[in-house]
Amino acid sequence: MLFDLIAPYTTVCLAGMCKNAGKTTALNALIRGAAARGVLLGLTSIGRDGEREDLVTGTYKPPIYVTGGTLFATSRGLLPRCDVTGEILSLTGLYTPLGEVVILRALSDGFVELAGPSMREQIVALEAALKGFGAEKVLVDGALFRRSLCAPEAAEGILLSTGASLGPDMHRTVADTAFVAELLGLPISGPWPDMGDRRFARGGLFDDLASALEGQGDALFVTGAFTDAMAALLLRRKGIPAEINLEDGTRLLLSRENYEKLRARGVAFRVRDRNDLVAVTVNPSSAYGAPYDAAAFQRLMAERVSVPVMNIWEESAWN
Amino acid sequence: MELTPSQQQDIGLAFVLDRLQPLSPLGRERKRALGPYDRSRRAELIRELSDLDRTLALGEDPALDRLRQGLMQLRDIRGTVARIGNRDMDQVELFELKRYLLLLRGLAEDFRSLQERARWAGLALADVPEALSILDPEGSGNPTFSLRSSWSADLAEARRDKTEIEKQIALSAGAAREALLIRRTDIVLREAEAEQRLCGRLSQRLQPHQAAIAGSLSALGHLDLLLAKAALVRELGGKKPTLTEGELSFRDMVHPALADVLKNQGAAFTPLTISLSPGAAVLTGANMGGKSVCLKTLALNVYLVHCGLFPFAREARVPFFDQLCLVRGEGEDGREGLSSFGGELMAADAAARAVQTGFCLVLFDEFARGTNPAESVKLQQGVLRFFEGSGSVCLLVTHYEAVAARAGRRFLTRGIRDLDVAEGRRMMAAGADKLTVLRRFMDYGIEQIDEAAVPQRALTVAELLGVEEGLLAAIRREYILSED
Repeated sequence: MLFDLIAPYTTVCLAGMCKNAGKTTALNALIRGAAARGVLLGLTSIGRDGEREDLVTGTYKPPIYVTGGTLFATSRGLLPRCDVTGEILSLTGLYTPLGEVVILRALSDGFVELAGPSMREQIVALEAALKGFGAEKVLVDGALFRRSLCAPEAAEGILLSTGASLGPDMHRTVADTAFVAELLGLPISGPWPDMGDRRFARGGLFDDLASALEGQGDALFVTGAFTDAMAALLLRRKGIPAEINLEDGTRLLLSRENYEKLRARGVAFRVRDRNDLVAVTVNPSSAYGAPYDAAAFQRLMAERVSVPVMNIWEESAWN
Repeated sequence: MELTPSQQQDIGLAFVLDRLQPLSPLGRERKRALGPYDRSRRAELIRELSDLDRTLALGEDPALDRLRQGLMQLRDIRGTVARIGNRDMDQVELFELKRYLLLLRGLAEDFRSLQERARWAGLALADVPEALSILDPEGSGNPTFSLRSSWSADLAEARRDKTEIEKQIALSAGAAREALLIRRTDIVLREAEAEQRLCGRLSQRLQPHQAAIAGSLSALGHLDLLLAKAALVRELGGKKPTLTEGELSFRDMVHPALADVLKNQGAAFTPLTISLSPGAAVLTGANMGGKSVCLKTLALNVYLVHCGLFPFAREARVPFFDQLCLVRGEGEDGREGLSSFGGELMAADAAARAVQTGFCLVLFDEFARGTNPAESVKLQQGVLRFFEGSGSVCLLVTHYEAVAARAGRRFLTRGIRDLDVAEGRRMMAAGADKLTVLRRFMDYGIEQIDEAAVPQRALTVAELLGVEEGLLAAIRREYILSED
């Protein structure tokens, strides 16, 4: 079961490649798994998610159904849409556009909508608060698209959901998902130099990439984002660093094409901090068009990533 | 005695206010509203100053620490309190109230134990146990909040049905599950309606206690600011002033912002002692000798007292002023000439009107300095004559002997000591900073003097500052010619 895969982690972030990739279905599967094992869960989200009507596409999206006892954090403005009997535990002093974030204990089963803060530090603080109220494991319903995937400090493990809604070409969906999985699984770097507030290090400290490329050594260290513009600068040069070190995988804001070109030139990417990719869930049905062949999708995906690939629609109790 | 923002900046008020740091949003709001007490609140001001002294006398106390801890948890729930009685209060608002009432219970207990020693006159804080028992009837003290089934029969019934159907949902799947979920929707709606009715009833039962709860919030804001004032005195010093009927005097008064600047430069602020009474006095002294600093220090400390803060002095005797009038040219920011003079005239006009209706402190810094000396003397003499008989307290900084001669009381910034310009030059040649050298030779203290002689030390200051030799020679020649 999916829940067994996340057992080693106390905080897990659920990320989706696109809308309708099956993130919420995966979350519900984890909630049922936790209930079956008597694990007390704390739930929140990065920003808002879990709407009954998908605001973008208008398609039905399974809402989050929790069991009694579950702790959850959501914005005050969404409380009327949570139909569990609730005990209010705390007002957190963290605010979202939907109001202050409130921590509750569900005293009954029922539907909840989650809307947590968007800033990394605030999510970390909220996770700590949920654990303070007794949550043994915190699940964070993450944002969509890889550019806002969970940062390492906010979660130990990541569950990545992908599906046919990403596009009609199954092979492209598999390749795009595998790319994100690869970024999340980049190897850990060696020790970093003390960079202060400088952006680049290579033999010395630099403020711009062009100067850093004049520096000495195989390893380039970059704080903040590594972008397509930087990749283009590198690709124009003859001798380039063999190793590019980033803070974490979310800093790599590269197109798959540029990433692969750099890899082909022998560049190895490494990260200082990392959260583990735990599993990939696949949803062969699409909100927009024809479904994929479920078996082929799962098989192709499994060939491209080193973690378990699950079609949770098959083990889902309802959909 | 309101001051304009630029006057507040001029006297260095921000330095003090930045260090006044209440712990709660309500205390911070009190701080934002902090200003001078007007005459109708004179008794309140006296109580506040006395309460501050009593707070300091408490010293360190575990109950005080607990109060501070509690204040840090205090939220501004005045909006929620204002809604007490409304039928549409929600569960989160009731949670806020319960949490506040629990916090208040602890704070009020510590307050009572401190009050036995402190005997604060202007402060009262009481908890509201009747309100707390509405939201926590079992007296559990648990800071969470839920609407209990036992508080409402129809709520209990809805929840029984809900629990029952959720058991069935958990055991079902597919279409049967969907059908149960739809049935659950009706039950959930009944529960929500019963909850809302219950919230409304609780809200109405709380209504008789609304004023007491609002009052406690206000008292906590006041207490917070008072504790912040006490912390300020511990950080920067300060002494309870004696309120007088007319006498204004400070012993060893300092200006904390300027003292801080000097300290960072390795120097020290020379404490100032001055005693004034209704009538007009003059302050004279050498250039760069601290006359303006004296005026600012006086203005700041008088203003602080009127705001219910302690002045920075070993001893302070301060009357209640209706107005603090500062008449200063704006030369210091480079605006000279007519517009500056015009500004001074407007300020003098305001002061002249103010003293006719109230008891004021009027401070003139070299009035009309931008105009020609012959007229400037006459203008200052006129000011002296007018304010001498005004019944208010006036201090006028001047360079003119002819003005000083007219004053009933004269003060002198001691200025350059037995000077040794050669020694100063040696220090500067050895690399010492010009201002450091000047400070070494300058006594910034003030004293009361009988004679009206005004020290002539401008040339010495110029020499000590190392003004260009050719220019100095030309100036010296004028001194020699005038002696002949």
